[in-house]
Amino acid sequence: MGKYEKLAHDIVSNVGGKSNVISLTHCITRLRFKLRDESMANDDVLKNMDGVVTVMKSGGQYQVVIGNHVPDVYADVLPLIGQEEGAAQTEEAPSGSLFNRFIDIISGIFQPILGIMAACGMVKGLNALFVAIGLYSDTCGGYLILNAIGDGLFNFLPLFLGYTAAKKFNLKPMIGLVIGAIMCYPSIQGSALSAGSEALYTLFEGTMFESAVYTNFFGIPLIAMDYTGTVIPVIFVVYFASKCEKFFKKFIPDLVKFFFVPMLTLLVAIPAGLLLIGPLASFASTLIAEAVMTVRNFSPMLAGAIVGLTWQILVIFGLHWGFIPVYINNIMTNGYDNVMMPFFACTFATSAVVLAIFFKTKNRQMKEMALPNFISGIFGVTEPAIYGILLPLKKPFIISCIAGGIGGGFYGAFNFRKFMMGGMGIFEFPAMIEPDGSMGNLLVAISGVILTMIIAFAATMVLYREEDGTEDASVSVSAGSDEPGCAKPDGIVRKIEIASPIKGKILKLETIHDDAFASGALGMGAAVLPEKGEVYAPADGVITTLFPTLHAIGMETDEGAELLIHIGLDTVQLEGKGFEAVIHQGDRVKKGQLMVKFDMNFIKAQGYCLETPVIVVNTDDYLEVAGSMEQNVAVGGKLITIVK
Amino acid sequence: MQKFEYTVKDEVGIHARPAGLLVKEAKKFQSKVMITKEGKSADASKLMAVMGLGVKCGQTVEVSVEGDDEAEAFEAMKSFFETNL
Repeated sequence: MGKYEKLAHDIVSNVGGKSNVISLTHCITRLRFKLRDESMANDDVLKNMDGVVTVMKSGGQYQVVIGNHVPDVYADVLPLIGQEEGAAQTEEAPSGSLFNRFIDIISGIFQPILGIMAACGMVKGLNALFVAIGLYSDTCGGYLILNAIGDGLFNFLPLFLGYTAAKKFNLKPMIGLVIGAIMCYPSIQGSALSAGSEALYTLFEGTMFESAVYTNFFGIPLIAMDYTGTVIPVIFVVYFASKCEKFFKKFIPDLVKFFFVPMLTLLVAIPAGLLLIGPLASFASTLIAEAVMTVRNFSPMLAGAIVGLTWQILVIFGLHWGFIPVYINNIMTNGYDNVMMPFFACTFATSAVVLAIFFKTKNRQMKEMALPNFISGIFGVTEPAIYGILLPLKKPFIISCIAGGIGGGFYGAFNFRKFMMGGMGIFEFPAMIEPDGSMGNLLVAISGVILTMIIAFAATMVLYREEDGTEDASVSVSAGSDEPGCAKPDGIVRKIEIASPIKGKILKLETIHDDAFASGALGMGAAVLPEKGEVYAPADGVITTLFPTLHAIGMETDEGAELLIHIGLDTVQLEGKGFEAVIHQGDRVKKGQLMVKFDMNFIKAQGYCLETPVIVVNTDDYLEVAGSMEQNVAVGGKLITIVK
Repeated sequence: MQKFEYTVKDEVGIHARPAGLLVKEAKKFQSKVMITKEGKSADASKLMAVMGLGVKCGQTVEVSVEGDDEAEAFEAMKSFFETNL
């Protein structure tokens, strides 16, 4: 039990008691109850309770807004309603369709590495660009190292995903990391096992599932695959391992748990994963490739559309590998491939959608990622865009699949071909010039790219709305948030903290004696009743406005928050008397730097209230702007928390 | 584009509270509402910009409205200025 025991107790009894609570989760600032009967809750009592900001009802949830220490309160509420932390986590798993749930899991797992992934994708793409324009060759050491920098994350993706997935599934994160490492272990990769050695025997000979077996696990044939760079396999294995871990924890005595639980978990989960996933993935991908070839016999356009439409989904599951042998075989025997190539449109569909999102999103982090993701996408590295932007927002992913499908259909219809292997993104174009030098096929390639990009871009501009991506209360990305002011903890959420510019007593904004500020019409924030007549910079930034009357300061912080510090109420009437400015409009200020001095006694004697609101003027750009719940604050102490 | 001129009568000028109301009103419309004082213009949907103009009592501003719903916005802004400022 923590320090919020009493608060927790009061909250539970006022939402109708333990029996009325179906489940509880929390987000950045709110306890989110699912209640059997919302009418049993005492809204007014809760609203006026110390430690509760307010109560909101939305989407079948009864939300008690606490502030950013909600995790602590949450921890104290849990035992009172007989819910365990673990149970809460599963409850947090979004209801909604299987598709939504799946996407939420995937995007949650990718979330921690998105920024790095965008960075690596960019390095990888630029490296390819520099080779393509002849700055250096792809055999030089510089290329090699830069490629390693760009590709390391993607090649060893299962390690990172293993780690984050483990957190998601409540497995020890380090075990998840180890699972990822095992799956990337060089000597068990399909390509390593098949390279240079004869197959032991062939399974399902004569059927389309014919698969060469290069090794076995104590007699059980192991159909190997390359796990490097894959996404889904490690997530499945980690999920299974989390179940194993739970099981073993129950039966293994405490004394030896530390060692035996991870050992047994790995010994069960890894072989089971490798023996099952390998064959499943390889059969499914073969099946898909065969199906596309069959369709191609009567309608190349339809076959192309299928490839374009499904390619990105196949890539997520690693099922696109079924096409690779077909592709290689086609190029070797026919001198070109036209079966897999319609996928080419998808790269550009993804890029165009991301570009449109760059223009439309208000979420700063999303915007910041969109541009590099677009650029690396054009160079053929689409993972950051797919996992970082399209999937979490859902609708853009669907748009990109459909645009890819249309482009793929176009390519199928015009018998689009590629004549040589290699290249990525726009660097594939040279391989599309027909061997005799005629440009017809290249023209098809370029027209397809333009067509796809226009469709994808326009569709996203028209159809994507910020809130669309997050209409489901469980979506993990907070581009628009499920409702104003709350975001999921595992989404793209960033906190900005604004320090107090003044030492004094913290007041809730809604309690101060000026309607314009109290109503939040000027933006949300907090107020301070000063104890000392000095105003310090609450963050690093630029003074955008210093009013001639010196009673108010407008600044934009380096993180983009526009703040208004209004010293006293109605003090504009003093016309500067009692104020002394140390800084000037346009100045850059450092957090903690003295900005304005004011004569508290003089201002009070003139009959003005000293309550000093600190307002986030661009509140609309953020999910939540919450004032501190503390009573008093020193200069530099936390006053406002902004969630974006 | 439609525009009108207005001489501010409110004795504190376009300051925090009136500025906040003004921004709220301007944000209701799709049209871009600009306020110009002595050659300096501010987007009426940006509080800091509006306050930064430092419009005082007795000063004249030009308000311009441009966009899809400009007729409506023009009327609304005009009546806003007349009743509040």
